[in-house]
Amino acid sequence: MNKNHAAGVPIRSYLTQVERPGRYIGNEINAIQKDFAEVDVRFCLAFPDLYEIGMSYTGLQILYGLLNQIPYVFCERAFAPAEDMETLLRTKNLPLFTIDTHTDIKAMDFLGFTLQYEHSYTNILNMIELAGIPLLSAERAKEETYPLLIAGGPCCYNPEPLADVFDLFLIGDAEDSLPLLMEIYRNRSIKSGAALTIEEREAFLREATKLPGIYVPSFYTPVYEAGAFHHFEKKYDDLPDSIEKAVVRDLDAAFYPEKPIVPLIETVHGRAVAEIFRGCGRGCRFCQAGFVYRPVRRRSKDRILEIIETQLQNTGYDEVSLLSLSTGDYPDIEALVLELMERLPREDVSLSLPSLRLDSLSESVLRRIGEYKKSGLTFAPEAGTQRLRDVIHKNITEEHIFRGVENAVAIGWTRVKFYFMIGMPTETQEDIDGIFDLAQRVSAHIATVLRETREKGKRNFHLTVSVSNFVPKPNTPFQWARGNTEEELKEKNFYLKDKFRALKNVQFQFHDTRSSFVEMMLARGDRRTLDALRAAVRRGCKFDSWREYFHYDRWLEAFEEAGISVHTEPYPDPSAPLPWDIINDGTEKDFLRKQWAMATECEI
Amino acid sequence: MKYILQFEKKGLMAYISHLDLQRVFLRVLRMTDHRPAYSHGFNPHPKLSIALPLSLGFTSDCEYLEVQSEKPWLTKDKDGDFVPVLKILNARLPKGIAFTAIYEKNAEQTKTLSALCIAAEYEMTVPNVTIREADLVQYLSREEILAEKRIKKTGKMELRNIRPLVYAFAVESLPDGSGVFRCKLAAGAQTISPLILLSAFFAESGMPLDVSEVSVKRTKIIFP
Repeated sequence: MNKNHAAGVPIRSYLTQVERPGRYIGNEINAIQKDFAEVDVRFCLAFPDLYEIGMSYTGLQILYGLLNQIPYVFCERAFAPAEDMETLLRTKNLPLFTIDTHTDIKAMDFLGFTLQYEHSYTNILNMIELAGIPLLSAERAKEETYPLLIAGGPCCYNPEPLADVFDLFLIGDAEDSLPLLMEIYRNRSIKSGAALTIEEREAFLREATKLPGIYVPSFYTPVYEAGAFHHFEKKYDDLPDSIEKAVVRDLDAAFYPEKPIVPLIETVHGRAVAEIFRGCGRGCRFCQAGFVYRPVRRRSKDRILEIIETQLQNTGYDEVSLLSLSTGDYPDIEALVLELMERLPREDVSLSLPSLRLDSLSESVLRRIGEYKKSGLTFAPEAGTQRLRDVIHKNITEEHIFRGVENAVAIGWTRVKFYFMIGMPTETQEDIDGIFDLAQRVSAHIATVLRETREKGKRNFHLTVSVSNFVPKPNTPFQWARGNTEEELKEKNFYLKDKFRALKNVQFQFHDTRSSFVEMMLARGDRRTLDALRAAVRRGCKFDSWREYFHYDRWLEAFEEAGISVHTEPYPDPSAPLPWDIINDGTEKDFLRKQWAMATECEI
Repeated sequence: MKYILQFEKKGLMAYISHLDLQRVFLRVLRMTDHRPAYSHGFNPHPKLSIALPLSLGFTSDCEYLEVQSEKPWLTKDKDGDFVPVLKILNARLPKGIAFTAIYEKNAEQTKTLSALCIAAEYEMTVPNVTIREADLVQYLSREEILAEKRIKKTGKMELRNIRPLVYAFAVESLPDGSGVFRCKLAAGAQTISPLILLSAFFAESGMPLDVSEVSVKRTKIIFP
């Protein structure tokens, strides 16, 4: 109960002065309103990007619904304001506000950020500043009036770059832990009758550490030896030595939004979405999601169908999508797809089935899928040669790829996209050339198939090859890997780009190497990385995932100012302590070491 | 079957654009049994349209949505009561947008509402202003009123005579010091924003005007 601020932000009269004002008005279909007087906890869920991006993210809908189904919690939302709105807020001296009720964020009990990608860190810092909240938890601890800052999401598996900012991190699944956290906060704040005093805050944080997945970074002080992270000193003896992530065991019983908010303006995705399973059983060694979301937990087919149907009734959407790390690995995928198609007439609803494995589906299912309107189809061979695919543990062979594409073309797909990565451990020139060779052979093969079948309207086959830059991520076997320098990545990309010019019906795309390099610096950062983030924000860095806003020169200056050397291999020694060792995502470090050794032994 | 639904657009919903609002209506209709008909063809699109676009930031008492439906909506349930279409739809619409009436469109009328509409009335509230009705009367008595107007074809601002598009223009001073300007303007084939007229008048009178402080409401759309 943080009621110390006069809370309304008079934003309304300025709304005609900004682009797409619909971003800032809330009140969407299925959005929830509560009476301030009747709730005990006010929570602002903040997404560090534009409304259109944040509202397309299923995780936000889960957290929003999860918190608002607690009667005494009112959860609202805030997004990164676009440049015009930010300028307006700064010139009119107005603070960042919730879009639901235009309330000053300082009046909230909690400000929660989702950490989806490292490139959003500058936006997080900027939003905290716009809210008029001191950045460091240590600064805020001196006063009673500020909200508690909490973060969750995949980047929390290395929370250290933002550890001095947040009061708490929720590592892992929120469905069970977050309501428990609200409960203990509520009990303490009712007892207190006003905003928690500094001592009460501390006591609350200590109690919170008893919950699964809760990390209170201010209770752990890093100790460095010879400039490298060595260990943490705990503030209290009874604190856990490592933070075990929170895991929801039964997805069918877990909360899932059946009445998601339907945005009034166009967003990236507006569709019914059911998460079909969490986790991935594949174990690709580069993939952070594949490790940190373990173990695989399935939602039952009946529950998925129920979710989709209820969502469609409550949203009026005309598109349905399934969400998981690898749709094709759902055990009963054929039955699920068939039943979905049975229930959703194709004249009425379009069905998007990302990462289906077309090589393993039966004729009849393929034919049924072929009757639906087709968007793009993607395959992720990731590497150009079988040797490198073995190193990264990508269990896909050329046969899978060829058969998959053949099947796709046979049922009418005309656009196929291949994803590759460059800069992975042990990569050689042969692997880079392999990307081109594979694309060339696939497109030549499909051309032959099409000539043979001579079916009209199926003659145009477009292959897009998209190459991204490998960034070593914490909590994966490749966390010890040397990343490529920006120059190396650039050279490889341009080499391929040049080569692909010869293939007329293949489009080649690659990612900004400078942006990937900054991501690499942040991903394996420690608490000292925050100095660089702050220096970057001071230089105007924000929206770093947007090409037009990304300024490499400012980032290099920021790293220099913070005294952080720009390096590619911060942790070459697998036996050395890592700053994120404190997070236990359920995978033993020894297992990761073994995987790393196996990968590098494949090298031969 | 074609239906005309009258609706109001108020409060924060003023900031939802024409196209976005059409999408909102489509979704709300799809949430109920009152779905629109779809065109046939490879990319079927729903047969629904809003009669007259409303500028972003304006509110309105009386907008019109035209929807074609495969099956009749104005039916009776088993107790002999009319199905409360408006109530069902309004329960799902965002706060600030509400249907206020429904009509079945005359089947012989093949023109769309947007092709039929000829004029619209607006109410503009300007804070802290003193205007005499006589000044307006004199202003209107001119044969030519030049104003910058965005030309549809080129997208450029050009100076045009807007006098023929202005059918009425009046002002009322409120006790709180604000002025309420009411006007009736051409709409449909030839359209003009009420703020253009207001800005031109204020410029002519040598008075400052901050258009972001003006609240504009459409009060009526006129069909022949």
